[in-house]
Amino acid sequence: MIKTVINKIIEQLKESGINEVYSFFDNISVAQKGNGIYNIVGIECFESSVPIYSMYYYFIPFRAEASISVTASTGCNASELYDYFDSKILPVIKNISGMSCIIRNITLKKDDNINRMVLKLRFSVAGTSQIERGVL
Amino acid sequence: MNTVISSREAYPVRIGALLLYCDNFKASCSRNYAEQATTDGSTVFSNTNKRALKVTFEGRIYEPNNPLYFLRYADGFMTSGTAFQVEYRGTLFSDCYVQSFIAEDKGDDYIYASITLITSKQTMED
Repeated sequence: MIKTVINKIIEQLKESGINEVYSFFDNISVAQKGNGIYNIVGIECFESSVPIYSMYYYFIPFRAEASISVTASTGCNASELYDYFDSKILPVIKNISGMSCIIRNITLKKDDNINRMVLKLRFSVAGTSQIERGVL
Repeated sequence: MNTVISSREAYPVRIGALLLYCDNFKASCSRNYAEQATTDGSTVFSNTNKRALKVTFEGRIYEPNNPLYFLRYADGFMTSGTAFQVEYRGTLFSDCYVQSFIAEDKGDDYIYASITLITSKQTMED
């Protein structure tokens, strides 16, 4: 379910024309991600609750804290990074925002390992997974 | 020590055309005793009767395209005053009337549903 949530967020970003998007779990090296801006979608915590039953399906409600880490391109300053975030990432999140999907916080830090700025957006997501009965 | 990992599922109950998967179930019943004072100040029971049995079925319903169908069914039962025969976990409840119901949306993707039936008939094994 965690990977499904990540893939859904990646899908939303890609539909908005953001192509440099990776999953936190995909094991692609920084070198392969290149020197330009790229985004990593992750899940920081995941919680599911008691299934809801129906005749043919189980529905499993879940809540998660998701994150999008926007890594600046080499030599890019904080201002450019914010502009990118404001024009590309934020509209996608606003689009899926609602009572259950809200922005929690945004932090800006330098990643000393790769010597690049990273802007991290944390937001909560909630939803329901549908599973056919007999599969669970 | 004997440890069992529970794998309980919600049990279905059919009330007329309404199918509800129950997370919780509650049944309650009592007996009434009419008390009379005697001349020496003690108490006797002059009459007694069994009160109606109340059974409450509670569950959650995920139906994004038709979220309030439970409310419409339950309200229809209340309006018509129809009596039902209801089976739940091998027990048969006859001549049940809908006494009350609750449909609650707490801002989740699903609604909380609760329906209370009342019957004066004895329960039986199905």
